Amino acid sequence: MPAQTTASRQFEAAVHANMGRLIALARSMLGAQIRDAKQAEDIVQDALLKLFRHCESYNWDDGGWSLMAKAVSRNVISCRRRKIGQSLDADDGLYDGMGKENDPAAAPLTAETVELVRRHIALLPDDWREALVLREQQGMGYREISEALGATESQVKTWLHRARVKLAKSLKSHLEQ
Amino acid sequence: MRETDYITLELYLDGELPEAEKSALEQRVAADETLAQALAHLKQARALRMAALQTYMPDAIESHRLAQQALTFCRENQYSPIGRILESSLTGVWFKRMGMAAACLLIAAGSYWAGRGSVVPATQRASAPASSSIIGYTVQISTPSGQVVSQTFATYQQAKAFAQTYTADEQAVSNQSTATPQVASASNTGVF
Repeated sequence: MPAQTTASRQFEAAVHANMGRLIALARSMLGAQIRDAKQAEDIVQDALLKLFRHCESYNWDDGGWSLMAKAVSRNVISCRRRKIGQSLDADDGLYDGMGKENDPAAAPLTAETVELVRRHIALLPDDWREALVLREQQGMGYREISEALGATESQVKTWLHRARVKLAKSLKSHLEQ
Repeated sequence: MRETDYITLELYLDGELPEAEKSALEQRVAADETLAQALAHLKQARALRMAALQTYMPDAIESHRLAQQALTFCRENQYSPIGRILESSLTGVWFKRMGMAAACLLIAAGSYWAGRGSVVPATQRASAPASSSIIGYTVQISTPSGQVVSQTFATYQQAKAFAQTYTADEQAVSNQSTATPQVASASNTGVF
């Protein structure tokens, strides 16, 4: 086996440091498809292999997080695009009943509420959920998200808004039951 | 509250509001109780979503195990693209692609052999072929005067009837029987 180079040592350190977050990123982006629990791990593994093969040509001095996060999100998106797309008509009646009094954010932050929100995030249309995860979990800007998802910035803005409104609405109806 | 106010507040929280608009919004929030409450609710909702997404994070032990597993996988497959195809997460997709390619090859090979099997030498007496790939029958007749008559028919029977009638007429006119009608198709050639 060839001797380890500085880049491959840095790569290994980056994998150990970021594995948890990478798995969380893949699982969050996959959402409803998480029923196949191994899929997120496989997607991360595949992304890491691609990076490892060319690790000499990347700069790992910053810990490699952004490089790895981008590779994983790209893999999730390309994996999802091989499947049949979801309808974008998920916003039927999206704006009904929006208003301060309907905001579910007032719900107490219990484990049950968190689980409920997670389930609703998982059920969002793929584009909406991916934009939401990249924005809120990864802190990406609209431009960066639009590049990652192959969409325009205004599409990203719309998806994010719709995702948030839909989440608020679905959570509200759950809490009212 | 208006829909546009929500959108502006979201842009503000996303850090996507231009500096001038950001200052203006902050002034509005300071002066407007409703807007301030809406902003607080949006922040709470965001915290709830972050907490929800955080639950996807594996624990330290699982993370370590997955990191070791991924590194082993990388080392083993670094120089082996085939191994990668077989073992990677996208195995299903690669297998599907390879399966489709193999199916196409089989169909192509099958068509080739089927086509070869139906070729009949021109010297053999023609019979009505059963192949469904035939789209027509062309009768070619060389007359004693050197003229070549060529005509296409939809069915074998029509072609045969034309050839026999034409030959009989030729014989009646010239009292010669040198005209030899032939019927040809995509997969069948023969002499009546």
